[in-house]
Amino acid sequence: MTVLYAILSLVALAVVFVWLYLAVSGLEKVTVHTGAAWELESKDEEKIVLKKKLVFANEGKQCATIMDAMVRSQLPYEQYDGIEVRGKAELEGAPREDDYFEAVLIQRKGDAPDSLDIWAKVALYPRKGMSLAEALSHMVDMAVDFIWQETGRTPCRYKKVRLELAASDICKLAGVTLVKD
Amino acid sequence: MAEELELIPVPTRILTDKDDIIEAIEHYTQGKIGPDDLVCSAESVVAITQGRYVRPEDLEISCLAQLCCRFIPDYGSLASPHGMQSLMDVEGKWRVAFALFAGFVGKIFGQSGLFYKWGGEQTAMIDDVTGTMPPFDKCIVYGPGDPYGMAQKMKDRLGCFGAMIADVNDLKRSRVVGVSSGVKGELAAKLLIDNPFGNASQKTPICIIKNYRQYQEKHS
Repeated sequence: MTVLYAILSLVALAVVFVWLYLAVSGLEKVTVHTGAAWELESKDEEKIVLKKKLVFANEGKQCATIMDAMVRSQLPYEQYDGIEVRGKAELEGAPREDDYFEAVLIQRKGDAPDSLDIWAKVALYPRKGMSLAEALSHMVDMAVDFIWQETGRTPCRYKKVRLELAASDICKLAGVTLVKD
Repeated sequence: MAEELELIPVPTRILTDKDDIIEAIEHYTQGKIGPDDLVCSAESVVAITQGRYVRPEDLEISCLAQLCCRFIPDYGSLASPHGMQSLMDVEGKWRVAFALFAGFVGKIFGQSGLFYKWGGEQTAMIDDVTGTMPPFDKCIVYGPGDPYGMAQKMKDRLGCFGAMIADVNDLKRSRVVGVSSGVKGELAAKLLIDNPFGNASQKTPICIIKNYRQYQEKHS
């Protein structure tokens, strides 16, 4: 009986040790700061490209990985069909001409780099034979979803934040007067 | 005058599981390989051409993998549930769990490396997400299958002095994964210490060491 108690005590001790170890070592914890304003990246007759900086900070105790990231337009033609929206996510300092997002690590809090800047970019193209200025002048408030795939000590999962883009802000950045329809 | 040793990195397009690694090496090294040369290939590229990779989304992550991965330092390839599960899928989950436990006990008694010794050969070879060039940066890449046999086939097909499959990185690590007969792998691996394959985003998975035969004879 004593041997059985001794074995049970050892197992209980091991469970407590593992539980304590896991609690102390912690997990990754990625938070996304979306407070930056939209900026104008480029504009020509065919399109205007706007961008917004998202700060991905790892506030956890373990390394995190952003496996993929993308920007998805939420402007259906039912709402406004004068503009076509294309989005892309781009890591600061690693511009790419394709829309590929290379998986990247974010170190634990305190190790460098424990945060990354990722740009949400949207390109707006005029449709239905309109000029860019004309199409933008009738623009509506729109949203884009920034979607990313994240992992670390926990299985990979998709997350998203919604980014709002007001028609008045788009027109201001484009230098166009918004028409009240 | 003795022929000089020279390392020639060979760029390729991105090789995939649709490619045959030996045919690819033959194609990209045409006219560059002599009978005294050693042809080296990066292990991850050999593995990719063998289809030895898996997407994290395609794995069924067990609770045991989620637990075991927590005991690997977070910079390791087995530190994620996917990396650990991919290892368990090929080496057996209880074997890996036992090796991890044995490694922990061994460390208490001053014996390190037991996990890698008993966990199976893939324990030290798996590259987790971000470990390989795009588009495989989102995949877990295993070590190549039958690396010694592959190296021998390369040598026989290319007519060179020898062939080697190596695991090399920018952190001055150069390890022999497979080598053809007659080649002193450790000696050759030291020549790759500066990583002529380049970093993960560069497309130079092949390196020719010109006049390696003379170099090996001189250093034997």
